[in-house]
Amino acid sequence: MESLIPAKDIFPLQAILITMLSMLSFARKPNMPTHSLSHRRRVLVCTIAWAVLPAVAAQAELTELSLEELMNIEVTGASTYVQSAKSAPSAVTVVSRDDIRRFGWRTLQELLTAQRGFHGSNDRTYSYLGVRGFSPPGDFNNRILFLIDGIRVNDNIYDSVLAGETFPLDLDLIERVEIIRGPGASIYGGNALFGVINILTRSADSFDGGELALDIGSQGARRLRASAGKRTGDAEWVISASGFDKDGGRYEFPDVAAGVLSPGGADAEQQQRVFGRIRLGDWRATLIHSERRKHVPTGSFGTIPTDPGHREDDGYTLADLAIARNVSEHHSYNLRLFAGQYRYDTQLPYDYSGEVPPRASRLLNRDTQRGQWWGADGRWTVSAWAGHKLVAGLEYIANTRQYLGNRDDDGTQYLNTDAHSHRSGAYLQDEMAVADNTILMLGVRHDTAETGKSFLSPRLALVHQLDADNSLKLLYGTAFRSPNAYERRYIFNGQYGNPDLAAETIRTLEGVWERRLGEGIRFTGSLYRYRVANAIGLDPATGININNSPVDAHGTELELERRWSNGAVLRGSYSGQFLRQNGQSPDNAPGGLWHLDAGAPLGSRDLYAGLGLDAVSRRNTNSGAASVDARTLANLTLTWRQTSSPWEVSAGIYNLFDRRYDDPTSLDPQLPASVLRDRFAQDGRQWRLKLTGRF
Amino acid sequence: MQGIAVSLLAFLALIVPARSWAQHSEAEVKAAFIFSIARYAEWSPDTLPDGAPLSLCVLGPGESQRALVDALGGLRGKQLRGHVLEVRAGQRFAPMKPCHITIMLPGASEQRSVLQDERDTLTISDGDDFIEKGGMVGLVMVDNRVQIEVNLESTRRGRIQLSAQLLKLARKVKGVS
Repeated sequence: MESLIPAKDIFPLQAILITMLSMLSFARKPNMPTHSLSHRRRVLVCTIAWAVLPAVAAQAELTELSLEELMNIEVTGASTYVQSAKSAPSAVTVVSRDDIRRFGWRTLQELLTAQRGFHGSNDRTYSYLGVRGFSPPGDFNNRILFLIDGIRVNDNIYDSVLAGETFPLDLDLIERVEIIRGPGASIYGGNALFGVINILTRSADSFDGGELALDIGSQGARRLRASAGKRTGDAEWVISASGFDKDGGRYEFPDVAAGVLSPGGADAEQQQRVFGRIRLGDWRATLIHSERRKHVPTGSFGTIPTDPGHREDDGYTLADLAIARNVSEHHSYNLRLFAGQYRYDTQLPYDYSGEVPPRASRLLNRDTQRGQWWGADGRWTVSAWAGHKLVAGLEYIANTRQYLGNRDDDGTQYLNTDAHSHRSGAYLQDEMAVADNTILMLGVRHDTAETGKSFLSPRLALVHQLDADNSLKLLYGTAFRSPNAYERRYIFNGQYGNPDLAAETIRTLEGVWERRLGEGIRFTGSLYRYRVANAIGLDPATGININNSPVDAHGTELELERRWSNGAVLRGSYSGQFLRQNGQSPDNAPGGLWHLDAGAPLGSRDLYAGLGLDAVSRRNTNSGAASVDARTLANLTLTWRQTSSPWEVSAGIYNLFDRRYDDPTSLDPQLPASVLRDRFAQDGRQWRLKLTGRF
Repeated sequence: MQGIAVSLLAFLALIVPARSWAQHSEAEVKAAFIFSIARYAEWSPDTLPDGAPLSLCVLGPGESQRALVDALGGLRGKQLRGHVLEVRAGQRFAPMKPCHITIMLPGASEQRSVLQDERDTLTISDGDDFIEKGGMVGLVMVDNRVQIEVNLESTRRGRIQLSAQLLKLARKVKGVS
């Protein structure tokens, strides 16, 4: 296989930027040659290139500053986690609480789709994520593993969690999000095909008292959050509760009901979340609980279009008890005991008057799913031998309930099945310093999935520090996804689960180059290829879940970031990916993704402006028979925050230029054959005003 | 697309000339903090006579904190209220004495004994819970910014005077009598 490591020559900054920006213009006009930048665009390129060139202005002599001035200096790089990201055996992105505040993301979905290599789609039931171009419509994020403080969030019915309002944690409670790209199965087991999203919650110190947040926004959206946290010596506690309510609006879905405008309240949404954590010395107990209720106005699953009775509700409850202890300088262990519940309750209003014999013209069908599990895991880390860091672990999960039920309100039962199963894994990883500047990491995990099948997931990473500013990483790994309970056993109305499904697997080879181009400037480039074998999906012809032909992909990700000590940041990324399945591009697999985040204090340092641009190229839909256009969205957030004031105010405009665009959607086997639904129109401009107070 | 490009340009035009934006590493900022804190400290005249050099000692294994040790080394020779700054580093405290300022690196084996027994040395560290362990000034990171915490019980016991101005800037002051 050819080398995936980028060429050793250093790209001039400008060349990278011009390439990125010309590709941005390419997104809109596919036939436009890349070299013909318009004058206006050339000005833009020069401005940005100038902005990222190393500072020529003399650095203020730090020791001449007053203590007060020193306290306002934002520190770049060199903190512990950035260090570890540099030598981490993956291409890692870390998103901090500052970034969350400054760019005004409202949900984890918005946060993630602003990161390199990610894109999203929405069907007014849920929001879905795609990574490196892979996002078959109807996939429920089950190829990404989500962890909150190390607690696995993915449920045991879909093996997934959605990152919109469905996600069980408030964005405001997040200290940082670590995005670890590539297969993570050698440590985490199933579902970590494209990466692990590791969410770390805020410490009690970051509250040190109470915090109240209120926001209002488009479509009558309003949210209230009350949180508090306190640390006393070795003990700390955090508690938080929030409620979200969105009135929705009036929509038309011309594919199922042309010319019919829904009553008000369509797309309405409610969410409640509770979070609690107590830490006593090495012990930590966490409770996470959430309920999200959603009105679905689209007539999906063949329900009566725009009927206010179509609801789909999701809930999570996660409890975790953990101990992390350093036995000695070279030995430490983590033990966890956890339990979780996932709830899905849906009511679907159907018109049965066309049946033979005819039944009610409006009858509620109820789809109920319950997942319950508990488990334990332990991890030992040993660094007693020079040049080696060993990690060994065991994990066990018992699925005590995997219930799927479906019935009509008149008593007709279509589906009523429960299951028990368990899964386990054992892993070993050694990080070896093979030379002063080279780390070799070998890891392997053995899993017994709930289907009884066994998987061996190896991982190999070579991290070579060329010099103080350049590091190269070569990464190889595999991961698997066992067919979930829903894919194996859900049978209703033209959709057929398949107990004989084989597991989906991925194999990824990646080369990463990370370069520091001066204080606060960082470049990351990667080249990768992956193959997803036995990709699970619904066969459009039969409605049966099948193992599809393999997806072969290769691509590149480039990111350039500059941070200034006054808090200004400029970050641009381009991801190009080429996916092939049966000789054509799969649905919802954009060839190019562009992100640009620019933020800076305005005038005084109390006011901060953050601008985010996201562009997604054309995407196929309806098995490649149609496509949705490329789109570029801009979001602007202004934040006012004074160190001495307990108040913080933020105002955001989303989809600033009111772009009309569509997202591809999955085949819906329950819609009448005459309906062609392959896309959903998305929201135009929206706004949000947010007030946070600390006391 | 053009609208976005223009708005971005306007946005950049707004933010770029704001000021010269230097970048500083955590170690550089912490070293400057330590120097600045020394300005607010007073030692008894018998330990620091007029014109005598002021010694800053870095205690502990330096490998893990190379950047901080280097940045502190850069302070050598600076003038502070008529005293020339000397910088020494070592794993053991006694051979480095006198130390008007002691920087405790994480993992310093003598940390506990120095904090308990030594007088006339201003102890500063960025280690976890430093002031809870009896240290005088702790450096903590809050939102990517360095902040200070002060333990007045320790400064009283160690015969170090810190000015009220410094206490006003501290995020946390322990042991106010």
